[in-house]
Amino acid sequence: MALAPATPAQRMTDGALSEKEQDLLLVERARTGDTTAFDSLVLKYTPRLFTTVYNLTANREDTFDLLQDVFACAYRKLPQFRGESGFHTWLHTIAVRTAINFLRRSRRRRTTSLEEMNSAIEQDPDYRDLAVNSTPVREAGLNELQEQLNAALQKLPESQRAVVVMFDIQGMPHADIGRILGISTGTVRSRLFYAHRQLQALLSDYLK
Amino acid sequence: MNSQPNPEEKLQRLLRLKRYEHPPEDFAEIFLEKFQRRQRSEILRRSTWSILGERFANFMQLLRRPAVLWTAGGAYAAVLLTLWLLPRPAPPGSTAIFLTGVPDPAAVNVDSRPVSPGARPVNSPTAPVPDAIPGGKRRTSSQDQDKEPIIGPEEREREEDGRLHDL
Repeated sequence: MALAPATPAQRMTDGALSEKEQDLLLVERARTGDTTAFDSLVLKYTPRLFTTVYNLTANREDTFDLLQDVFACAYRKLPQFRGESGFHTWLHTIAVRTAINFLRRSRRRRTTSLEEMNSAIEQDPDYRDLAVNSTPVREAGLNELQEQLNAALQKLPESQRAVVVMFDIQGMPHADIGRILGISTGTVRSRLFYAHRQLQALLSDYLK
Repeated sequence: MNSQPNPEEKLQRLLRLKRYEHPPEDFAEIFLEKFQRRQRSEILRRSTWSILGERFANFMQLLRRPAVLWTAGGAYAAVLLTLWLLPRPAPPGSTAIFLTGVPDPAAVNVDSRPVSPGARPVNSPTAPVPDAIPGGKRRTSSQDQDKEPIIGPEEREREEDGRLHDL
């Protein structure tokens, strides 16, 4: 006897759904007024969006407030989400645009704050390699290195900083970044090129 | 062979280290709690106009979808076709015109000003209303058929002249 195909809800409980399908299911439930479904999306995407927004603003309190705005905006705009791109990309688009608008508005009155580094960094092969082969990195220590990296990132224009954060820190592909910022892949590459050139000059001591 | 990474690669490795910057462990839970409180207070604070405005914006967004446009267009065309195909009932005044050849003054009266009782009709300053009968009732089409045609003295003379001419 042929078995009936499993419904998306059954497949979700079985863990057989892809991440995109799981998101779409939660979005559908949230659209019908299921607030717990939207809460699941908030819990899932807060850490990822935190990394993006924090690296754009370099301030923990601003990041917290901006993320509140981002999720409130996403909840209001949920009926407009068509599912053509993933929910992750859609949410990132709102987050990056909200953060860039905030940075443009408050250029003069901003302060930076440091977020704690996860202790797992000590085990990272890249860090160990840099610490062994680069004297300035070894001597600087983690906190100073973190401060220098933040300061260098903050000197970039917002449009270039957003590309660096998404490509180098978040590891997103060029196509996704282009979709989020509403620019072509060529523009993404060119912004990355100019941003890297500027960062190399600012962080030259650590790149010897 | 030189295995030292170039500055570009070194820079990318340095930037990748920023992935280890994380918020505290309970950040997501605290964040969610505040978000829920904010949502509740926003719902209570919002005016009817802002809710209506948002719903209208969402509706307009929905209208941009081609499927919705096609459906709306199809429904509009169907309504127009139905209205065009429906048999139209003839207006009551047109029956009187067909039977008597004399149009109903009420149907053709261009002057729609109210007429005071006892005042003369505007269209015929001397003669009374042709289809009015004593008692204030209007003639029906069957009464019109029984009625003798109204012929003036000049027309009567012309008729008699015509008969003489024929002889």
